[in-house]
Amino acid sequence: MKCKPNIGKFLLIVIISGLLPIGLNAQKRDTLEYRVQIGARYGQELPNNYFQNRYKIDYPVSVGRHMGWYKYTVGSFETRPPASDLRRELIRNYNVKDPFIVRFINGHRIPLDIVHYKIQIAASQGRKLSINALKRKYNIRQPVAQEYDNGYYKYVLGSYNHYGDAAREKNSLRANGVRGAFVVAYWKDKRITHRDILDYVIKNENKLNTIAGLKLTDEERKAYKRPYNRPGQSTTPIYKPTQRPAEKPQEKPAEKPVVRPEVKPQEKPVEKPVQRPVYKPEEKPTYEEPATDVIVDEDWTLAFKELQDEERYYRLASYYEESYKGKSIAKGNDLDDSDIRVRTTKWLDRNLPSPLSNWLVKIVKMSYDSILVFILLFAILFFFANLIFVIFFIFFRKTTRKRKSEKFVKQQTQYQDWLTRYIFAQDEEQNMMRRLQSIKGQKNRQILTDEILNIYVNLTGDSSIKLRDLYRQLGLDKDSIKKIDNIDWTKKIRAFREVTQMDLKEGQKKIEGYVNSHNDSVRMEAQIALVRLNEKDPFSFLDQLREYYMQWEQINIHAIIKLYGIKIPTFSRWFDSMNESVIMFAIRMATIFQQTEDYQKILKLVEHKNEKVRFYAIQAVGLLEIRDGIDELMLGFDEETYANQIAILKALQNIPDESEMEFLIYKTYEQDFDIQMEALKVLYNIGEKGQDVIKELEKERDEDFRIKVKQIFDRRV
Amino acid sequence: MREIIDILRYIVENFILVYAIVIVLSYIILAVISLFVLRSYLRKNSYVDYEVVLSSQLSPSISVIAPAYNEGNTIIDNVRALLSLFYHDFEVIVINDGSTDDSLERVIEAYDMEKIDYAINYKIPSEEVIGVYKSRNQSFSNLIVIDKFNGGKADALNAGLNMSSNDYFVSIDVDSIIAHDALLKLAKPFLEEKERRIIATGGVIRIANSCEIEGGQLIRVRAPKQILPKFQVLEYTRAFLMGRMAWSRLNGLLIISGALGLFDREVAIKCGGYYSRTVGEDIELVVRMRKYMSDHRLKYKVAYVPDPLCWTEVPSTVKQLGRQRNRWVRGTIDTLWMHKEIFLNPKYGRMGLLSYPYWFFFEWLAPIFEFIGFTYFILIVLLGDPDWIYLLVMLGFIYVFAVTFSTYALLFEEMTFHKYENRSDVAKLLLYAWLEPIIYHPLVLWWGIKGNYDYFIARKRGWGEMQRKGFQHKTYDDKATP
Repeated sequence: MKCKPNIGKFLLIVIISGLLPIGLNAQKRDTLEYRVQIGARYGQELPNNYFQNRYKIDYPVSVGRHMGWYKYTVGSFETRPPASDLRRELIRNYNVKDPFIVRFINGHRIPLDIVHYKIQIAASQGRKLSINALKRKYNIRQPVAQEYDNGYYKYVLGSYNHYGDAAREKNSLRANGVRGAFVVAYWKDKRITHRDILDYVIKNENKLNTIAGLKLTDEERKAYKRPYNRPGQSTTPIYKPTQRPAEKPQEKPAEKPVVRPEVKPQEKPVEKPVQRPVYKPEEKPTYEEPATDVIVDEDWTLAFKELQDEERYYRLASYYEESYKGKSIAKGNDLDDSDIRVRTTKWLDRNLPSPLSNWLVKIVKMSYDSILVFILLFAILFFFANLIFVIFFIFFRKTTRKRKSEKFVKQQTQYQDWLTRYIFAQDEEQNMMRRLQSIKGQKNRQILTDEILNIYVNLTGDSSIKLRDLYRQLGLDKDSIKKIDNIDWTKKIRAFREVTQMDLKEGQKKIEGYVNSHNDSVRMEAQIALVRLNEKDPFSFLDQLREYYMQWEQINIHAIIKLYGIKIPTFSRWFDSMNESVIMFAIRMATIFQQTEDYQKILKLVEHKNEKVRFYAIQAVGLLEIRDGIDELMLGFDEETYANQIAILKALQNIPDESEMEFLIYKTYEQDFDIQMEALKVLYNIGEKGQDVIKELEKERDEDFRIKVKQIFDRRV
Repeated sequence: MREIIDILRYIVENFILVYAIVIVLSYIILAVISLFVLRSYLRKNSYVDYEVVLSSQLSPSISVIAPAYNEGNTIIDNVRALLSLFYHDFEVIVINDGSTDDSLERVIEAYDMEKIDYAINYKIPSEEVIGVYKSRNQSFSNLIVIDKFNGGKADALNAGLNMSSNDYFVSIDVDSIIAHDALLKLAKPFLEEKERRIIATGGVIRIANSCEIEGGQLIRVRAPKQILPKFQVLEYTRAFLMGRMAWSRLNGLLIISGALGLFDREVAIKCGGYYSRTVGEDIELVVRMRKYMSDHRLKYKVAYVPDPLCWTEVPSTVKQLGRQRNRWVRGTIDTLWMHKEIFLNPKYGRMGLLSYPYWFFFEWLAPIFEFIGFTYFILIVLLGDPDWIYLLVMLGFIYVFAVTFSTYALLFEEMTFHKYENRSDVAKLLLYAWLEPIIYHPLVLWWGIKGNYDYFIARKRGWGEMQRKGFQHKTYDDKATP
């Protein structure tokens, strides 16, 4: 019943699938937005349609205020790649100067990954310092963090987005006695130097110029050329960057917000060379990762004056980020640019009608955002392909099966024909022999073997000998023997059968090895084979059998005995076998073949420790009519299990005797219905005396008893 | 408030996701196990000569118990079919369960039967027996007909059990078509038992609608012409070839269809026989037998034979099918409830830790969860803004998975017994696999909910009545319970 339709659960999942998306939505995902900034002005707004006029673009331009700046952006994308596309387009087709991508998270402008600064106040090689002691020593209130890098424990405080702020703080720390304080820069929680950025900028100056119209100042370039020491690699254990060149204009922390307002188109007239190098998007900037621990020091300050301008700096940082991305250090969905997704979406856009492609594009996008959707999409495609294949396969099977079986039958009849002609048509013997010898290939030879066996069963006398000789002449006997040890157990079984049928004595030894095989089928077939092959002692395998001797095997052996008239041994030989299932078989066979000679041994088994063995022994006593066992059965009755008690009464029905009467009358008073009934049956079988007793009993017993008696006397049952 | 709702949603949605994943995975795992079991079964039994069982006195004796209730039109053919089964030592016990038609008279006349004196041992409770009949004709000596007061199918089976004296018994639906060699094949697992006692063997039920039948014998197999039976073909094929096969391998089979099953009589009687007050007596008996064995610390196994041995007519109208499903659902709940102590009880081994929880969560609760999910979904659509893309992708996945699964079921059939010879039949079934999730499944879901409603709220626990096509009288509607 209630195989509750499985599909039930499938649809359940369908419903779930409806819920899931909602659930995922509910988990408040950040809204990401990418735009391309094309210009900015400090303190004052630009006239309407300024950019439209200047660049001849027709994108809507939106304006936002940020720290005193008016910033102008175009486009709005959920992911970064299309924004990059737009940026490139603006550069290439509209000559927009210096556009760059800005990111908004939940409407807040968030730099792609901003470089920030901390102040290192101390370092120690290999030994941790106590932060509290440090704070006390320098009288610092801010939290101090410990970092470990390359054998050094470093102690840093603060986190500033502007170098100026950090430098100010550093100066005040120094003034307060933290003499070794200096500024360190971080990008993505990793120490970098401005030099890292500079390195990149200088190496790619041309390109940056092309892309973003960025030019290095002379100071920047000078700073780059200056020999560069890496204080982190110096050995001073505690604090202090070693080379601090003579007090340079270090109190110039670039406080004034912005000296140079964001590139104003008008102010920088068409100085630029007209022919720009052609931009190649595939070209990834190469960039060597700097040594890990580098310290920004005062003498760089000047050089970076320009960089401290938020916008410019930010732009550089973002290129820096991109350069990292080129080395695939930075990962994340919104950074992935040039991949299949873009290509797929574009392809879909171009090649499919719009409502459909919109959906598909969305799906493709989501598959990148959610691993679940991706897996499901993959599974759909997989199952679908699979499904189509299976459907075809079903029909393919249907067709080929028919054809194969037809071909097989044809081949069979052909071989059959050759074989019968070989045996019976004298004049064709040579001819047929040649044909039979020409049969090659394992499969074909197997079919031939099967045919020979088929025919052989029905032959007697000379022709059977002739066929057997043919079998040997064709070398099929060797095939069969070899097949005994095939790994495929079904082939083994075939081999057993062939060897047995053809009576190849040389196979016997090999087959004996499989008498205790763990494969039920192999074990049984080995037994069947041995019973027939081993003429001297057909049942000797029973001595070796350790596995449970299943009824199925017993039945098969019994059938073989009858079919081939196997010489029956005295089964009492196994009455004391270690294998109890063999004892059971032996008793049952002894019963079937009426082997009463060793009845004493059977009587002994009536007391065997195994209930089932006793059961068959009791049965044997009845069926073999061993009258000497009557007393034994009656004596053991009370200690027997219920099933065996019934068996005893049934056995007594075969050997009714007046000596049992008292015992039986007593049993008719038992509560149990079946015991009463069986006892009555024995009494009935005892003959007139017993039947008289039943009639006597009937008089004093109730209605139920009378019905039983009625049944006993009704011989139709 | 809003937070609480969010938390609730989070819990509900994640639970459902996990539930879905477990279901899909369990299906796949069961199918893979089935594949291996089927393969080894076929390999093993292609070398078997079942006829040896016929010739040997060593084979056990079997009673075929066939309860009949108002089967007058077909009973003579059916009994003849049963008598012609291949087996050397078996008796057929037909129980006339207080039919209101002339079933009994017809059988008595056709088989020349007479009433005999027989003392019935009511080892297990059943309604009173009015009479026991045997044939005067020696060639029908293994036929016994019991006439008793009406008590339902389970009660009739119990009466048959009381009458039987053989080692094993087969319970069948008298109007099913049983393959000639069914007994041989069902008996084989018992013959192969070693230390572990085999307590029951189940067989596959196949659908006989639109098949050519003559004199109680199957002549030619065809796909059903009506719509609902076609869906049921898919359903049964999946359940039997891809589910049960694996469960038997895991020794976790909880149900043997009432239409065909071979049982150890001793165990069945010791554990109290069929329970006549449930509508799911077939699953209930297996669970109780298993429980009995575990309680007595006996090693046992429930075996299963994948050969198509029993063909039966399934309901072809929405109304009949609905009633049948409703009853199955109630039977499942009944059984699970009656044996609730098995749930996650290590004492009951795999049944306690695997099968019972599986049935609990994926057979009983599935339609309920599905229904809740559906309602929830509707609410969200009405109140919120569902993400249609996720919905589309998920829907697509489920749909394709469902169709793939059914297609694989047909592939299994093709690779094993390939009973549908006509290509057009197979094509039709393959087509219906695409329609099933849309057309058939919602019906089944609805019946599942209705069954739960009837059980818990309307408190219907008994048998529904059913009118079988072309029959003047009411009959059992138990049929194949896959």
